[in-house]
Amino acid sequence: MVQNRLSDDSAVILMLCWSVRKGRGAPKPLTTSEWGELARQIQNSHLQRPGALLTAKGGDFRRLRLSELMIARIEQLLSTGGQLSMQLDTWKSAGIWVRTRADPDYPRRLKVQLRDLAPPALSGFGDVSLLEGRTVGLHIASDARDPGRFARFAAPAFSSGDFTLVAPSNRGFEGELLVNALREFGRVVVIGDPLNNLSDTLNRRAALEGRLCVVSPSSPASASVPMAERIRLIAAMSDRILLYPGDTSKAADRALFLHVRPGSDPSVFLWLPRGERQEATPLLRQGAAPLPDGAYDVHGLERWLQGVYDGSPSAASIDGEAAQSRRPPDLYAVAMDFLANRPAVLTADDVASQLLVTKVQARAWLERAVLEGRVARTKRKGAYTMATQPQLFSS
Amino acid sequence: MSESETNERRSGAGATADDDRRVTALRARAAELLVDMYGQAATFRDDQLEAIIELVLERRRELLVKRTGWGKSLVYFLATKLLREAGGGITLVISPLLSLMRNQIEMAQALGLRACTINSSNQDKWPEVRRQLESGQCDILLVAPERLANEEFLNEILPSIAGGIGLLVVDEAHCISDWGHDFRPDYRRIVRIVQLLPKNVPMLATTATANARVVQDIADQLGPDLSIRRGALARPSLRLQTIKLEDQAERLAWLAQHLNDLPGTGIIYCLTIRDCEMVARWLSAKGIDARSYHGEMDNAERQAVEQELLENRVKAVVATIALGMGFDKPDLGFVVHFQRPGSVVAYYQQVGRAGRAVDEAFAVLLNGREDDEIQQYFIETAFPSKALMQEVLAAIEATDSITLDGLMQQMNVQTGKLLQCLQFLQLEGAVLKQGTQYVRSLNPWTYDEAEAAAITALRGTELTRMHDYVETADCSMEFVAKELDDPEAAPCGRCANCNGNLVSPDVDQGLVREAVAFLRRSSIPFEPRKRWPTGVVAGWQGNIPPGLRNEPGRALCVWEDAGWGRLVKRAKYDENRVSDELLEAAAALIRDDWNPQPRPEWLTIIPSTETPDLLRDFGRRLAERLEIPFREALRKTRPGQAQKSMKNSHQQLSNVWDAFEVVPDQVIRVPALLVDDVMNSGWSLTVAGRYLREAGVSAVHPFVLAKAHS
Repeated sequence: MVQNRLSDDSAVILMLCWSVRKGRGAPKPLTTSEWGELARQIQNSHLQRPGALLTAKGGDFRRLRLSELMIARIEQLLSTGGQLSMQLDTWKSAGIWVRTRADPDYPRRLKVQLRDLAPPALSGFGDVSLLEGRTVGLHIASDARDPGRFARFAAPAFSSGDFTLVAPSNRGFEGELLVNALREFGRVVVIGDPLNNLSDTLNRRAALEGRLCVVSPSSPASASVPMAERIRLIAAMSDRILLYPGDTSKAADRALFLHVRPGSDPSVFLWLPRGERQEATPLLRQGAAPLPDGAYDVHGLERWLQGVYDGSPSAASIDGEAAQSRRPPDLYAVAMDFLANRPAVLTADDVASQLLVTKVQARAWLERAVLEGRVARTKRKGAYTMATQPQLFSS
Repeated sequence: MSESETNERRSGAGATADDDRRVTALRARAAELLVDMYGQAATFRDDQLEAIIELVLERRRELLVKRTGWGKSLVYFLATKLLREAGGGITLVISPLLSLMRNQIEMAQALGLRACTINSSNQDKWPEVRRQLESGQCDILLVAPERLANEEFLNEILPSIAGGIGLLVVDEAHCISDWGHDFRPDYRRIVRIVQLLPKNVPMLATTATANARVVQDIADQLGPDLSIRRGALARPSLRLQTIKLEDQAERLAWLAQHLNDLPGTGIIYCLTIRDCEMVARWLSAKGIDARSYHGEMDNAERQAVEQELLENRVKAVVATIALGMGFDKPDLGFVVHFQRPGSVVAYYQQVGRAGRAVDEAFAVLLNGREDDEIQQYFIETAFPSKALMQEVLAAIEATDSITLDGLMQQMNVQTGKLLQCLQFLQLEGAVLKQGTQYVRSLNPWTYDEAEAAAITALRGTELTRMHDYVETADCSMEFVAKELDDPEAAPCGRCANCNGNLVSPDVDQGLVREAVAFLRRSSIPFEPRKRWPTGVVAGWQGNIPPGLRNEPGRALCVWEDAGWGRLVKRAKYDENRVSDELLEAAAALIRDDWNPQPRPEWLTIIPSTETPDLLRDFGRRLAERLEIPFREALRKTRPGQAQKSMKNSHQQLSNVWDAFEVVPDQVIRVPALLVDDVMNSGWSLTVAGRYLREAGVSAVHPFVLAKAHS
């Protein structure tokens, strides 16, 4: 919930990272990675806390060693406090909360999993502490085959058990599953626009009963969240993820794997009956596991969803197969594979934004690729080309 | 806080040589701007420059409690100029009244600032204002507090402000306090916004009428960092007098007799719109230039009246408090109150319009027996009831979302009451509005009975203090100053209690008799209904076509009023017959005063199940007096409930729709007079008129004996 008074740190984060200005000349809010870098600089400077920017003068900014352009942008963003406070009040009046990384009740999971890449601020409604319990992520790929059949079949399994279902959106067949789960008193966390989701009696009732949390990494007033970003968030918020796969070249699905940490949660499981496994080979190679054979009927799926957590003998036996087939994904290989079809000239910024990783990580991968001869530097500083040796990226 | 204290605090807080240089430069620039505006002799009043420096350099939060005319606006105009010169954002001024905004825009423009406003009356100019905001061509934006909840303002205008908001100004800040005489629910939103305001945005709150308790309440709500600058509130030029006069007729007579004895031009305040119009008509009839002014007039009309007063082209403007806070006419010579206001502080704020730049101005309070009834009504209706609030909330909660029309169809509650409930529920975060839809929020809500009871009790106490003010034999100004906790309260030596009557309280009995006759002739025009409410009858919505619409109508009086209203009540409930006296009054009104065109050539009545004989008898006798035929051209098709028990348009129309039919052989296809005893909503007349027009009647003129209280 937006508090009656905003802490200085939160005020600065919201002004810098959320856009409350629009139109010509509106300053661009800082990206997550830009904010991460600035936050580090502030922490290591005499300012120490973001809130100190509220009283900072020209000299303070210069000591942060920021470019003149960046200083001007930050100053412009810091002038939006009046507009921000009015927007915050409107959201608060609707029952929508806002949390920044400076708030003690910002979801711990996101900080732990995403570190610097955790969204600087979240908005939403409902009980965000649902994320503190057991969570199962669900994603039905947008180009999945016959997802309706899966949704209808799987619905009863998702509405029972002691876990919270985490989904990247409430549209389409994922939405059907969520509605069913909520009707049957299940618990749900969904990435969505809190303002639009509020005008639904089922959502309101479930939120008031502490069974639904709608959360967004953007301000309630901003445009919708891209699917790749949603996937990145559910990956960070879930203990395990069930993917009903489609065409594996989709950026959103790939993003899921890019954010799976080798050897740690969340593990990604594929709804992949034996006969279809060949088609999903790249996903399996990148570290996903098919659901165990016993989990492809309602009761099996229900037991898998519940058993993953309670350590029951039946669950252990079902889960055993998944554990055996789970291998840590080679993120570098996934990244190179992904970049194979990108434009001829790329910078670390391009790679970072397309793969949703830090610029530092993107640069490291590119340098490694240069050493391995997969990528060549161009004459333009910081730019890389892949056009001369395209075959290197398909390995 | 004095200048030395300000400097001391600044230096104590670790000021640097740079800071000192900045203060010195700012002082010099502010003084330069002041001289540019007001000439070489101009100097700052105590606290003005200090407040400006704290706002501009230290971005602090300030509360100025200074008397009207002290120069509170100058503080934020100059602060705006200095902030803008330093590349800062615009100043957003939240101000409660349109008249105040217009005044301030003119003043700002005179000081070389580009000021604009966004309000309900200038929607056609919003795109232009938005362009100005986007391109940085506006320095000050004035809005009413309710604008801060408007979706278009929040989603389109606010985000377009280039450079952001450099200074937030909350004018008439006493409206924040529950304990203030003029607490406004919309100010709750301002408090929440200020609480969420990052500390790099300075804020200035101003008021001329706040006692110690209200100041403390404002400080508690706006936060611990508030600097409070308080000054003496009494205005030495004001001369106060109270005059007891029994009834409206005596007051009208007093005004006609003595208004020209008062210096210059001024304002006469009334408690109701109807009284404003009536007093203005009476004064005009007595040869005194007077105009009415109230919230139901359109913006252009109000501006024209303000201008006439500013240019001294009228002796008096007869106004509700719509012409109030912030209206700036420095040479206003008098303020007369036709009725007693609800509190001493409210009274002082209203008389504070006078005597800003003249040595002597008069404030005369007329008061009498009916004043308390009106004030009691205001007190009792200030808060919607718990049951109604809960009913509205339950209706919204039961749906995904619902429109106002949808609520009115479900609930038998007056539109005004329903809107009041919705306003409270929105302000308290229980309901949000998305477009035309109301949606239940996720915030818990309970009716704060203790708060409603406390405020109602406070209003009662204020009314008692107002009685005490009227009765006191001590200095009137000292009484007011003490109510405001003014530390400099002392006998003024200028009011009627200190110095004897300033204006004669006597009234000429001949004028009183004329006033009685005038009151009895004060009929009430009303406009016909022009739109069908949405969703009541399938196929009947939108504008009522002119061919099915009534002409403008007339009521002889307001139900139970002091003129004919009590006689109408007696006729309906005691005697079941309209007296000859009332009949003569109705006939005289129609024939001599109203004279509707095209002239009605026959008369018919609304068929009634409640009082059929009364209306039939009255219709027949009135037709005789008007020398036109009487026909019972309408009859009831089904019994309905009493229309007065229906509370909103949806319920009212549903109750009478299809309740009548035409008796074809009784219809004459020429203009008709359609008569009813009491008009509640006007829907019976509208539906009956539609049947008559469909049957070929060329014009329908509605007439009623009394119009119910709205």
